[in-house]
Amino acid sequence: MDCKEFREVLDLYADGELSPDAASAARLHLAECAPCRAAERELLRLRGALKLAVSRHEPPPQLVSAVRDISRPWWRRLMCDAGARDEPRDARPFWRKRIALPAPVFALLLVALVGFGLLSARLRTAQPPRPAVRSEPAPPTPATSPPRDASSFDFARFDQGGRASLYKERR
Amino acid sequence: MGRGRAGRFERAALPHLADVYRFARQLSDEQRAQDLVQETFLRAWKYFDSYEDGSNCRAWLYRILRNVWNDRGRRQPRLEIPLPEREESGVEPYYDWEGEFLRDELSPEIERALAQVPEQYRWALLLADVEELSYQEIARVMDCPIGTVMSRVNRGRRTLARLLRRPVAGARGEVGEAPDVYNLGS
Repeated sequence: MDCKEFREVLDLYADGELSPDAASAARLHLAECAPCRAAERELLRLRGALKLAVSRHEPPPQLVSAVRDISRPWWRRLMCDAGARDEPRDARPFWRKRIALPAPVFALLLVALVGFGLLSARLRTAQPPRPAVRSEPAPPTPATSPPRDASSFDFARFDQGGRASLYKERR
Repeated sequence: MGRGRAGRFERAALPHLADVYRFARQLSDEQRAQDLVQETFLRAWKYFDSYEDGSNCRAWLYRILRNVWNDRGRRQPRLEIPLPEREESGVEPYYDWEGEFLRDELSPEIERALAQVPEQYRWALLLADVEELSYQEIARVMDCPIGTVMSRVNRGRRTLARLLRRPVAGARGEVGEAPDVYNLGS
């Protein structure tokens, strides 16, 4: 291989793309040719300088977290966000740790809680306790039966008589 | 299944985030580079099932980046002068590489020169010299024959070398951007 041939394959040689035979011929030529060695050295220097120049840039943190979030489900994202806000990580036990909630989620929880409280309070006032015997068919009563009084009422029909005995005592 | 896919993605693709960003940064400004990278990883996640385990994930990501870049280029035409046909073939031998054209170049100076290298050459140059992909992989990324890759790598290096040598050829005061370039070192 002479200088002209070597210069034509210098890129391939530097990039490791030459066949083994051609690469060994190039190495033989390099061993005996100082100008071609200088040309190869320059090419390698150019490569090194290029690598150095490109490596100056670091991806910004917001890009890193945005790309990381791509493959994360939403609940993991929430957990990671909360964790990131706690940094530096502390060694507090879990019952002493702060929980970070996004404002909309917090508002939603608050509305749900208040709504549930109001609803349950309203239901409690609107529906007075009804006797449990309502579901059972009432026994046929004779038309001439005397009007009921407290003594003739079958208190045992109320939840096995427990609450009924209380009523009885009060009377 | 979902967790496994996400785990595989995190292990295979995410470690290359910095490399992809640095590459994108040589194609455009910081904001656009971020957009390019985000879109690249979004598509990578979407089509991750087509990635073969054990193959070069970085090359696969660069291929996606190339597609994103091409799509963006269609929407926002870049001011890129098309290369003449003759430039796309043939290798230019390094007959005049003996002189030490590469002085103690500073990285900003090299980046500035690189930004002037035509886009197709820049892609080939970065993929070969910075990412150290094989010509076969570069051909797949750039969707062109290996002969074209060879030519683009060769011409990219030649063009960059010429651009770096330019300040030396003329007097310092006469060269357009040379004075502030030299001031960077002092």
